Amino acid sequence: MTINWQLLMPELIIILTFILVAIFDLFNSIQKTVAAWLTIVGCAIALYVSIDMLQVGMEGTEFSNMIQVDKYSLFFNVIFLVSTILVVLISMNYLGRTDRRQGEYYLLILLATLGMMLMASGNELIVVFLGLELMSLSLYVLAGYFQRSMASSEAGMKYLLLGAFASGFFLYGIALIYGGAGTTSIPKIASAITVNATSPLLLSGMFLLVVGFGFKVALVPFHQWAPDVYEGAPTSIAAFISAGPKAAGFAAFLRIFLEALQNIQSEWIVVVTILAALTMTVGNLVAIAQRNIKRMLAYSSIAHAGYVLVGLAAANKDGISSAMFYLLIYCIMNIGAFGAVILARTEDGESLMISDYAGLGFKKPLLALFMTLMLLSLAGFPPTAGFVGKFYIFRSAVESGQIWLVIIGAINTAISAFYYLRVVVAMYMREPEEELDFHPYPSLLIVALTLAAIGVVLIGILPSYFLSPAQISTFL
Amino acid sequence: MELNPQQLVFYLFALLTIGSAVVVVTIRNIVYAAFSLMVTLFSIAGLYVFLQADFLAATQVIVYVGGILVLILFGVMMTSGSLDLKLKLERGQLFWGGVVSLTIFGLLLSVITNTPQWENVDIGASQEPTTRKIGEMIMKEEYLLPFEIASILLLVALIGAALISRKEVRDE
Repeated sequence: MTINWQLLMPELIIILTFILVAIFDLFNSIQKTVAAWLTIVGCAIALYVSIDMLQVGMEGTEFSNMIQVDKYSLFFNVIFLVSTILVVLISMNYLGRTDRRQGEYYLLILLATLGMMLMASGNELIVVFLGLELMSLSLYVLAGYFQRSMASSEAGMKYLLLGAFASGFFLYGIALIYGGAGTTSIPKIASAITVNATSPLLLSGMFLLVVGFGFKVALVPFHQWAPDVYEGAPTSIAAFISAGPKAAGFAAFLRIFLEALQNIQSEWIVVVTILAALTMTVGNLVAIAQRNIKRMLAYSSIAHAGYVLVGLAAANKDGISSAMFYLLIYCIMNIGAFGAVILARTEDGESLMISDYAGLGFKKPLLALFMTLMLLSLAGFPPTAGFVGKFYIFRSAVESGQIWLVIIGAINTAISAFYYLRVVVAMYMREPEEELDFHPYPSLLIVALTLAAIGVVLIGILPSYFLSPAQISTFL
Repeated sequence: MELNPQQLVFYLFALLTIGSAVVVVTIRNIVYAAFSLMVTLFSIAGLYVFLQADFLAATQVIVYVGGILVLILFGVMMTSGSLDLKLKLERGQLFWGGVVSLTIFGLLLSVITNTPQWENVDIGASQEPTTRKIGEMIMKEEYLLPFEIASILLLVALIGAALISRKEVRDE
């Protein structure tokens, strides 16, 4: 068996980085921040290789069709690696120099990233499932990273229990689809399913897959874990969970439903449409009631999953490319928003209540500027990236005739502006209730936020430069 | 309905599986529940034998009965006070658990009754063990990659367990 290793370059680089970090972590004399820098360098190289492969247009399957490397998976690699780099940058100051367990933290982040990459390039439900588990297992541990904090342990435990439950649904769905189609390979399932004869096995398998994915990307009504986990987990990990894994979940979701199950599209499109409408509406409405900024961002990220789902409900080429484009934007701006939350640390920990942000606009102008930019982008104001992202998603839905979904989405965008702007208003127009003693700005966090800010503005001003790679990368 | 001996044994195993599973969820003593689970797992291994999945049956016994169940029992017995622990079901848990279980049961039942034709795979007269075929598929043929990923998955579990059990220490 000869293997074309070139196709798997990004994955191999991540594994190599993992091994290097593991070795360096053995030596106590070496500063633990080396692990973080190695992670960043490894991810940066993998990112460069992925972009290069995307430009050259390297495609192919490997390991007897287990892995499908194409522009679609490479584009998602870019999303994952960009978010991992940003997350590592915001983690370094957050964890501090003195944390002895940091090595494991970055090891798990690397393996989670590998899992995401496998999910995006899996051409076989088993590989997708293993990638999903690889990612999820790492995240369960990372969510409970702060052992001394009850909230963090609770977050880890809750995430583990509900996540394992969701994996069970997902696996059961795969088993039923195998029963119905006689194969777990995505292209073979597509050819095994004929439009007229849909077996109930396939339909119930599809239904269970929707439930499994619904849990993993936090769609309403499977979203209950998200706010608790985001609130309890370390903020850097909340940023990580909300970005890459959600994109990975959607990468597999889109590929399985639009490639393997495309012939029973009429069956799932109703379900997906209802889920999209529910997710957007419930996410945004509940976000209004939140007093804690991490919970607010959790509900906002649920709502954003709803917007991406609109792209799947559109079920056309533009739907896929706009969903990919939106996920790229979403990851950058969401990590940016969580990074700004880390920036607002005080001596007693983090200031997480929205009321803590009162008056920051003049006391901490740089922090307020970053936060405002990210929130405006999340709300979808032009000329930020969030605006163009939503625009292309809704346009693809209009093209495929999902007018009602677009109307619901537009109403939701208006609702969401309310709670995003509330934070901005608090920062610039309210007097602080009590004087909080904020930490000085950590330099790496500023670097990460600057990168995110540049990304958000650049994509907002020059959308076509980033959208056209997505448009040529769809698998349909 | 005439039952041939093969069917008789099958129904016996099926009954054992379901009966002991009911005991697991209804009995209040946690140790009895754990032992009842052993019967369930064993009978499932028996059902696998009926499907001529000999490797799967052996794995079921080794991993679930030999490994996981022993771990559960150790966990129960080493946790002080758990032997006298009476398991209780809250009304709300009973209701929602029942709703979810019945929904899934109904779904599966409708799948079973509505599937027009079950495809029978003819495994023919070859009664040779499946181990060889499985081994070849994992090591030589298409399932090499999933096998490798599974090993990384175990590595994650190891690292995660080490991290969770390690004390949160900071250098001064």
